[in-house]
Amino acid sequence: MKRSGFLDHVGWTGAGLLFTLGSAGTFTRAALASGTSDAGGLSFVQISDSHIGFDKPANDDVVGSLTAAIAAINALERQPAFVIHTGDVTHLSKPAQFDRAKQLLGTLKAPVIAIPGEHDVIGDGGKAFAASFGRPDAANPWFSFDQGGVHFVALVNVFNFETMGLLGQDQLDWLRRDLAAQKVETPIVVFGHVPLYALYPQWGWTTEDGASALALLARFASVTVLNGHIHQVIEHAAGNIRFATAASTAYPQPAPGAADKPGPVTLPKDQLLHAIGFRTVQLDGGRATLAQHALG
Amino acid sequence: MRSILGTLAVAACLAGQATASASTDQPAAATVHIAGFAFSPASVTIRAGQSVLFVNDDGDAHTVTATGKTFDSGGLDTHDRWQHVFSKPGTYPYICALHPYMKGTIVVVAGAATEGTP
Repeated sequence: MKRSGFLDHVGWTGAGLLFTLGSAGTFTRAALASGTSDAGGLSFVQISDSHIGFDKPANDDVVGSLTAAIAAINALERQPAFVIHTGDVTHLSKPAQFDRAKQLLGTLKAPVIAIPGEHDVIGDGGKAFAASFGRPDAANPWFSFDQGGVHFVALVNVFNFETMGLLGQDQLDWLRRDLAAQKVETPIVVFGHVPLYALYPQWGWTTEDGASALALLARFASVTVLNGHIHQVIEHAAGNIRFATAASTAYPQPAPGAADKPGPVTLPKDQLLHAIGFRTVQLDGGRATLAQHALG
Repeated sequence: MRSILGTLAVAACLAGQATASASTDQPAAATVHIAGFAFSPASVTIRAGQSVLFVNDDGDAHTVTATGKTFDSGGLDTHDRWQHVFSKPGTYPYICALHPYMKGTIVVVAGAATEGTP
């Protein structure tokens, strides 16, 4: 299957996410009804930082780890409305890595959304990522959708390679218009790769103009911001905005300041499996319940 | 500030020309090691026409990317190497696109290299 062929099968409407990766690797339309059940509310899954192509001692089988995460997600009793991948799907933006990642994510039962991390936009500004995971009709790589009474916003803060993270004025202007149409009581969930607040700027774990985005979100009663990038779960709150970073499906990084530099941490295999995995998110009105699922 | 920006603009133009002759068989005039999330040495001076070899000794992936993007190694995994010829004099600032706080500079001075010239 040539990568360029996938785009023919992608569907999208303003009402919500409508594409998924089928078992044969082709995009197919997906129902929006899953993830909303008699149990009420809406559930989805966040995975992040799979780094397909990474083969160093911190995890010499990142494909196996992502495969295990996908199997665990597919085995969830209540299937999520969708699975969001918050970036660094690949390690070095290589075509074979995108192909492998697309193939693996295509085995998820639930629809897949992916936003890029800096490892997904090396050298081409995100063209290869867009060819694999982008929306064909999108004017911008960032987008929003409404599902189950929740307004979801997917931001991209890795396109300026000289300043990372950075949203940029175009995206901030778009976000202002997007949020202006929302009611104060509507729950908002925001996705992005690099943390939107200054989590640890010394290691680049911040979005330089993130405060401008957070100012636009401050008026809402319930905001949940889910990021990747730092390969560990760190939660934080500011006003009505709740932040949570995600574990990687590949390998952990040091806690902020716990090492001289960030980067892959090598652990014994059983400890590695405790440090990687995925997150389920249950939304009941404005209340978000986050649960971590380690692979071991 | 104006003069710095002017220098960068000139360097960017020159770097664009330098990229046309990016491949080489000649030995590198200098080697920059990438280790501990830093380029070492951070500043290297060579003559026009010479090349610089970049070697990633780090446990994480990096890139060698000119500000202005006039040259770009692409992703360099651990132990990957990338060599680049600088054919025009100028000052070439670069960063790692994955970790933009990593910064380095290649200074290319005029005058043909004497070493290695037939």
